[in-house]
Amino acid sequence: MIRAAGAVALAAVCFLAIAAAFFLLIGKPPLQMLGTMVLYAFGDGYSLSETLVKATPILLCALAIIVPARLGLISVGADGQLYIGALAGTAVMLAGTAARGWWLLPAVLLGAMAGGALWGGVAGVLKARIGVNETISTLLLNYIGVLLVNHFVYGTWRDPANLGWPSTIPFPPEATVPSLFGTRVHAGFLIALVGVAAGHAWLVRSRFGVELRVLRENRKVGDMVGLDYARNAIVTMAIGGAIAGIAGICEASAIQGRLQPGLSLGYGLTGFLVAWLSGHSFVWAAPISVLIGGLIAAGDALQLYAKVPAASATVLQGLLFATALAVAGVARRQGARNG
Amino acid sequence: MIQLRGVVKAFGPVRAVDGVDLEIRPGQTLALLGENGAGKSTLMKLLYGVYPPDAGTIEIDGRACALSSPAAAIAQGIGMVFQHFTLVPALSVRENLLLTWPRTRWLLDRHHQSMLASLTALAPALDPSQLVAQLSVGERQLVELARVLNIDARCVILDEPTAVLTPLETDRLYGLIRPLVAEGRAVVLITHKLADVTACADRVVVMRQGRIVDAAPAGERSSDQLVRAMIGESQALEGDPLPPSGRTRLVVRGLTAGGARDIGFELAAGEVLGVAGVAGNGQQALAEALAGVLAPTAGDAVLDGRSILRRAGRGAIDPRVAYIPEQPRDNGVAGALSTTVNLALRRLSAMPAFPDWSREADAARTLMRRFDVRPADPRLAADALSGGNLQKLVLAREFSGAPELAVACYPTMGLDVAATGAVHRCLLDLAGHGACVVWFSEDLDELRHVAHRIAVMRDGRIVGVLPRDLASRHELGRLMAGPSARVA
Repeated sequence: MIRAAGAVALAAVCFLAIAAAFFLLIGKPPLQMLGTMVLYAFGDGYSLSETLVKATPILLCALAIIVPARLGLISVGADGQLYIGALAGTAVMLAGTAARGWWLLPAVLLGAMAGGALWGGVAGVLKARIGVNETISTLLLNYIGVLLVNHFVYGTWRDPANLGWPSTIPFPPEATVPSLFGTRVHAGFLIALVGVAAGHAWLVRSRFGVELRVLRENRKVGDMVGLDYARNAIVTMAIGGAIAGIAGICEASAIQGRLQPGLSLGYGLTGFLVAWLSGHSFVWAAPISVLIGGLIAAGDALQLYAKVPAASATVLQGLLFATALAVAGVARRQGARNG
Repeated sequence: MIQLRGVVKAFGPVRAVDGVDLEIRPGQTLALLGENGAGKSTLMKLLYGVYPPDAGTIEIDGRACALSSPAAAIAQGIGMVFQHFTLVPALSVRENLLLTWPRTRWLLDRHHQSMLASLTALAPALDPSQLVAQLSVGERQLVELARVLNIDARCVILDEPTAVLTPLETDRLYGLIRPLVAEGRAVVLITHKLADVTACADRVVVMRQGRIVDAAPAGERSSDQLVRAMIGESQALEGDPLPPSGRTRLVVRGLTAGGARDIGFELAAGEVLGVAGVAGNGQQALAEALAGVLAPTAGDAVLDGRSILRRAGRGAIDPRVAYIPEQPRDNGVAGALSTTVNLALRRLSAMPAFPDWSREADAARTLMRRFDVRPADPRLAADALSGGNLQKLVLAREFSGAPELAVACYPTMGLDVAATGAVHRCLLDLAGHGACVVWFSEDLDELRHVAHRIAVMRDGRIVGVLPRDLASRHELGRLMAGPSARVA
């Protein structure tokens, strides 16, 4: 535990040093910029709410990666599942928008979960039945997901009132994931937190979680004692997909207000990195997501107020992941040497 | 001449090698004998540069050497063949030899010739373009040995070389060691088998708990003296199996599954059937089919009127069957998980959604004490246990449900004398209580000791079943080899 804390501190110091060097390179005062970033990420209520807005889809996508990873599956499909979830949820909204009622939001959410689960499940079935590598299949399904959404919003679902702008009609209030405290933070964040708690209890303490670990460690032994790898591959991929689907419908309804292209700003990939960085731990994924969310939100603010290039946030995010993974690797090697 | 003086190596609080003086002389085979965990392999890894010693010196021809890495050891002419091979399975034999071919940067035809020379001498029939993955264990060992000879090793260390070999392959290995010694090389044979000592050692050194407890020319020590030195006390062999009762319990008819074809036999209550055979003659398929892991294509195996076989390729092993798989580290446990989970594996599907893990841990501790698994720590990862304790862990899991049939595959392979005794006791106890036991082994002496009858498998079929008093080594060997095989 002390070693883990030391590694985190070392990673932070390394990242700050490299980030300072980056600011020097683009001709900005490093210390002042770093201080401003912290302020823009966590400094006041508005900054904090923007941070949580960015953290929510990242955390949900990280959970979508972690669930199959408990079985040893390396999915990179959160983005595609997010898009298909948004697509299916929007389909429910379009079908139900004429006869609105309190039931519309639950139906939209369920639709989104079903869509994401289907997209994850496809990769799960391919893996379970004919052994298709899940990393490759989820990667390719991402492209299909993005392009399917494009197909609908440029086509039959395009709102004529938009004068050629490709998007659907706005989500009615009955189909919108509600916001919290009058900010842009929405109930998706609460769903993500519930997902963290439930995932931890379910996959760490329960029999099912142990079954997944047995199958991950030794499929032959799992098979011997009657555990079904194929079924669990499909189930975990589908559950992961459903979680990513929630991220998708939250972005479409609460943040953008309609389904349109460019729904995800690389949330799936960022979520994958968060999942990896957390060591596939539900509990660690939450704070790391908030940290990354803060970095993205601060990057947006810096771009507006400090006139740094738009790509700065992405550069800093990449630097953060690279230093964190490198420090984790060094810590592991040190641990192996001493242990 | 290699001389180790006062060598010490500790891992945490454990002194694996505790002040050892050892002389390795050219032109001699030195057998380094000891139980699992006695420090034999660690001592030789110090010499091979895998670890630096905490104290003491290593002198080669009178000069102190710092062997900081295997590369440094190889430069001094020390080569080691590990128990777990270090070949790359996806490459051919020739490519594997190339990987460690030290002599030249560019590879010309004449280099190919000399690179393959030692392999040709060891195994003329082996095709160097074959993939290592396709080789048998014995053949892989020959390739490893050829690799060591390629570096002109003057000292060849073999770590438990016979643990993975069939009797025929073992005899051939003994035959290969003698010419190495005759060429003036030193050979160190790490082993816990007395048969290895009597077959080819010139000098024997016995280690126990990191120290050398006996060293003498091999001819001056009896087997009994060596065993006493190894385990610190004279251990009587376990008692014979009780005579079986007349009631037939297990009936196998026309069983065909994987490489096992048309197997049929019957077992009475309390009967132990030994199954012998050269590795790869269908034993594994038969064991997996009987255990209910491999679905059969034909035939049946009925225990007390109900089939024990796996149907339609799904479902767990029959709860009445205990299965001790070959190489339990790979096939019997989920290594990174705790001993508690590993002990609960067979019951896992029947557990509540949120099991009471603290109660499971208590049960695991009790069970491990009963089966003498050390340390009896319910939170320890199964992988952290030594080979013998891991085997006892698997026994504890499989036998805790009072099984009616035990299928045991090479249950004592690689275990030391004490652990072997414990495994024998477990299985014979079970038979004593009326269960049937099917015991696969390549150790014919073990089978003749524990089994009532011995079946011999060849080409997937049972080619003969001998009662124990008629099952001489010679007769079993004849059945195993088949009519056409040459006598090695």
